[in-house]
Amino acid sequence: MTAKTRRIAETKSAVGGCIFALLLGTFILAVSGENPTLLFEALSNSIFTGFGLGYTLFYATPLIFTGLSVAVCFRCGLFNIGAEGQLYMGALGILLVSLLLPNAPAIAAIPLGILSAALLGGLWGAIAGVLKAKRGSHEVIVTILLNFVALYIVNYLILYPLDDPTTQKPESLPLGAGYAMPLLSEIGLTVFDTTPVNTSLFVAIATALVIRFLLKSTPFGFEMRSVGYSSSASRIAGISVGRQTILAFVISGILAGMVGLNDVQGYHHKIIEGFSPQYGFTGIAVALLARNNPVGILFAALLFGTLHNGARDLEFLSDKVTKELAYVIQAVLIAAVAAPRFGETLFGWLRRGGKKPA
Amino acid sequence: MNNAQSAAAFEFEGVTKIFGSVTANSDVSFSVESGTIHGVVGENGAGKSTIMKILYGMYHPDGGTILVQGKPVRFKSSHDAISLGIGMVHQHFMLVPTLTVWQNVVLGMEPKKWNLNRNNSITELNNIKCQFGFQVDLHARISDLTVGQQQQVEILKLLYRKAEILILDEPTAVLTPQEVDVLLERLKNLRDLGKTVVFISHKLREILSFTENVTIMRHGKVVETLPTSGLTESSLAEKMVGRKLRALPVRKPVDTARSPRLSIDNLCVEKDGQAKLSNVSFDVRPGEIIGIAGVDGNGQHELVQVLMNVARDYEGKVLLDGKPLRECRTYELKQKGLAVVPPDRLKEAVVTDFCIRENYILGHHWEKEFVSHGTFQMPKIQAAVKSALETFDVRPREPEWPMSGLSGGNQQKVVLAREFARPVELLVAAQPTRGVDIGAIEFIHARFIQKRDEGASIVLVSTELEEILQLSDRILVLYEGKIQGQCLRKDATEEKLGLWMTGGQQ
Repeated sequence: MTAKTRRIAETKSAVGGCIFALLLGTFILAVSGENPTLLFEALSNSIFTGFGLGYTLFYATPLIFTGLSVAVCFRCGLFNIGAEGQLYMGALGILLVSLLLPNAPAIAAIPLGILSAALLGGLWGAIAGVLKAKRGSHEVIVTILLNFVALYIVNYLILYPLDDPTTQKPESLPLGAGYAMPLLSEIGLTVFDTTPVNTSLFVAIATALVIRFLLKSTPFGFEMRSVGYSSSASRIAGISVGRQTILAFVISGILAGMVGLNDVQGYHHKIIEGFSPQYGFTGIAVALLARNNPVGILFAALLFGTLHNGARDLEFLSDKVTKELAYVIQAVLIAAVAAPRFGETLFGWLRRGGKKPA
Repeated sequence: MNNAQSAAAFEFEGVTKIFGSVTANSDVSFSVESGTIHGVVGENGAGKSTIMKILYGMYHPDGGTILVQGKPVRFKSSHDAISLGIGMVHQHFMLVPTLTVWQNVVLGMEPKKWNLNRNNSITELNNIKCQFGFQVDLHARISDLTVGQQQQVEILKLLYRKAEILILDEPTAVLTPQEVDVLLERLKNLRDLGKTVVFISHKLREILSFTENVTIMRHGKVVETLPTSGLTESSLAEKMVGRKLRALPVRKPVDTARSPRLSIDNLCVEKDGQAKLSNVSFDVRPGEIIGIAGVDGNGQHELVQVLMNVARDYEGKVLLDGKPLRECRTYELKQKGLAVVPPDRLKEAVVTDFCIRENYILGHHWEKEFVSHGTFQMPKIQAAVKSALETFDVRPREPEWPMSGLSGGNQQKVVLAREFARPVELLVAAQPTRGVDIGAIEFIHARFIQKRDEGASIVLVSTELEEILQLSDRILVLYEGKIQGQCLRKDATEEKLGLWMTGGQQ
């Protein structure tokens, strides 16, 4: 099988997974006594209305970053479950630089915010990389534990020393005015009026293209993929496996840290306790669905953004569907989409004209 | 089962198998007599394994008929084949290393009850062991067994499943000479007890020594099926390759006046408190091949790791052009002309998930000819790969073809194409022809001699005495991590080396 035919097969299985997910979703709605077509209404609202699409893209942006974060580690043969912690540390980086230089003008503040998000996220990622490369600690365990550490460090800071004294809500002091990423509605895309989608979406898309270039067209990315496939052959070829391990985690941390561009710099303009609805973990599903392909991640993130937004919408559209059921449907959709075998089975079945396998 | 003498155990009639654009088997017809050992020979990629996997139900034929005991069969999976008494031992063993021997044998055949009926299966296995003369501890863990013993377990598995037809895919490729003898005795024994054995190999000597009939395959087709008696090694090789084999070129004499390029002085390697290499010293001059012979596991692995600059924890001196090897970065050594052919092709020499192009640049992926401004120059790489595939006759000549889709011989040719793309100063080659067919062996050996004549220093580590005797200028024998003996090639005999290999002294 050449690379091309494999890609076609993978796309087929992803599309098949989506179809299966929709069938399953309507089934759950029907069982819960709701009109099953509501699911399609909610999902089409999330794509075909400016308001819905605005929110969908807003949810998709962080998923692009976390999806890339997980994918880079995967390509190096590492499993990064730590994107959730890395994104909180990135958000903290933005807050700290803003408190340090609150009056920076936008032209300096926005890049400063991006750099400090990358710096803190990258440092947090590096911990797991260094422990893996130097001490042989398993990266899955280390990153899971570091998630808690990061979450509670950030929670402590925003609830106590950096708490906003003017409000009772669990949130930090606000960012300096210059740090705000412009909303898309502010740069002339009026179709997205009243939605939080912002220019960090463009940063995310550009980042995906940069990562694609890095992995595909540079010797550095080549070494990373080589280590991911075979560390023994790489070592004999003169590649430093330890160095690649550390760098993969640094890059992953940087990518996850950049979630803060969207949620902190782009929308809330402060850190709200638990602002991430598990972007770091959904990023794993995004990367899996896209088979760790950076451009595929753009589409996978859009899909998961749609599902997330659609599930929220369902709750508003129906009085039978509660928030909990909406999340159940979302989870089922994610599981079905991420399970590639459904797609293969479905297409195989269609090809044989609905007959069982011979 | 064996009622009619010389009845066919199974028969192929016009079997064809197509993978995408590649025809692996085309119109294959031959039959195998019951109670015989039947050889199937052919170069890598000739379709030997494919046709046997079809018989074992792993692949479905695209055309033709298979007859077992005279009746046409269609297998949905290997389960169907097993139930008709067909079993196969694969090139790569299918054993769970953490389970014991009997657990592995019973695996997949567990009685459908809550608890395994352990004692029954052990009694049955002991009977089989006695009947066929196997010696293996049923309660030993697979990971503690030697390769030869693991192979016994694979055969036991088949016998436990009541196999009447046993297919062995290149069973001797991984064995030491002694283990080969044991295996061949055992297979003869199985035949005498009425089993049918199909033996896939490209080692002609084995085929000639103990098969009754042999089927020769080339390019997916059957060339001929004929009785083995009356065949000679060279006649069989010619049928297999389709032409006369060339003799190795005459080589230049070694210039003993030149100072050594690689010099090893009192090299000692210890692992987990055990001495793996002790006081190994030798020099290699430019234009000289040093053959390191020995039974596998006598320190070759450690020596190769040191020479590949992967293991740096050792005592003693290893100097390349007067400079300590371990103080150099592997990448710089490669630029200066270090070429390596690691012993484990799939794990160490190539990245199987990469395509041919990516494997061709592996280790040289920072080289200026491939990279400018930190970016790969795809057209230049493509051109380099294409011409290398041409020169080294790799099939298919398709740079984007996945490495895992190549036969062993073609994979090894890609490795050589990569390592020989630049001037070679020092070549470290371990088992360079393991699992490679005759045509490719001939090709690889000729390339080694060519590099030697161009002035390369070559360290050849091999467990194949024939290869060592053919290529080396000087031969060292490793035994328990020490150099047991050394001599010039003209003074070497198989008997002398064999004695050293087993620890004897002259």
